[in-house]
Amino acid sequence: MKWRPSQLGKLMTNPRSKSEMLSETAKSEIRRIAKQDFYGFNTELRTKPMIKGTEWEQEGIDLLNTVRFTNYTKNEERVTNEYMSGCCDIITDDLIIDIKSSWSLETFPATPSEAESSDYEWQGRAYMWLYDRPSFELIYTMYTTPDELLTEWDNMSIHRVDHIPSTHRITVVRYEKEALYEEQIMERLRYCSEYYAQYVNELNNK
Amino acid sequence: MQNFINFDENTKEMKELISTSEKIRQANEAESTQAVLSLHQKVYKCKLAIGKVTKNANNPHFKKSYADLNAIIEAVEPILLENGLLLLQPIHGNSVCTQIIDVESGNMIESCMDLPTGIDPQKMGSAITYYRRYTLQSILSLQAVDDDGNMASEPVKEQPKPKAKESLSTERFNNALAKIAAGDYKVEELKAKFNLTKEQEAAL
Repeated sequence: MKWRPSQLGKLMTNPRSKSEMLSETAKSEIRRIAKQDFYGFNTELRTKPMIKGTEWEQEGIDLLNTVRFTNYTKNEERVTNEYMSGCCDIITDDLIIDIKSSWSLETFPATPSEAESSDYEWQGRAYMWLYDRPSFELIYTMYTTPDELLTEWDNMSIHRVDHIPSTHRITVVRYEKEALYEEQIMERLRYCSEYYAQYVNELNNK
Repeated sequence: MQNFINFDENTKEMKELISTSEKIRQANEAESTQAVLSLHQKVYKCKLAIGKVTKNANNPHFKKSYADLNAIIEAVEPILLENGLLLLQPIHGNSVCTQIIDVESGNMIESCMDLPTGIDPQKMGSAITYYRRYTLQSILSLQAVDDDGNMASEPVKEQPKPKAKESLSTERFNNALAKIAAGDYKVEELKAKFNLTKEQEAAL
């Protein structure tokens, strides 16, 4: 089993007692993943905010390039180690960037403290480990929502944002690589893989 | 066994029952018609009062090219309540309804619209608000309907504002210069993306 960086947030939640190795949240997430793998189905929703973030991701990268005078391009190289497999958005010699596209000005975290997220921090730590880079930036971008995703009922003032300076439309949270966290990830993922195998075994032999 | 049916006797009883029932129904109908008229009279009184509100230039809600749901409710509900009429906007199955109920008689007039199907919950929420506004405007035939009615039949999509080139603060311009000097960025890109001042152009 190769875990995905985006799954790490739930898997790394702490159990209630020290005698337990996995939290109930982690177990539930592992069962959900195992069930999908076993039966071959996918329950992921494709919401409009998700479509904006995937199909118009380049807009976010362009916005970041405008702010930083850079030429970042979308990374396509997937990296796999003994425990995980992932593909980050942007990679440089010393930095990994994960771009998040906010659906609207209402959902856009305007300050780093609003943007901090333990789930995304774990995702970033997984990328730093996989790609062996010292830093990770979680960058929220707010670019104009494409017309295809809007209806006449939507409030355009929270979706049309080209008039706002680009520097006001990105929020950056930075994390640094720490070996201690990577050891924690490794240890936890061992238990996760064991639990996953147990559950699949149960499905096979019921 | 005495368990047989006397059809003649039953038929006679049935006829009597139907006749009595018909008399009661007719009496109720007469009473009900009177009550409905009374409801309509109350609505008429309300409409006269709402008309004055609509034309009142001091009412900020109706200065707008269209009135949103809250503005309409704020304008009409107090008048309806003053006249003993209750305004409800329930959702029945797939329909959004606006009901005006005569509190005294229980009689009601309503205006309903079927919601669109196959849309996501967020869009459905917007649609419900939209339909609540329209059914309320329709049931009272409010004067604010016209402008909005045109919008509904021909949705006017706001044109996206063209992306204007941004200006650069001195600090940001200096950052760009440092990137150019390091070979990470090009002068052409800077000129293409940003609206530079004469001084900045000269510094390049």
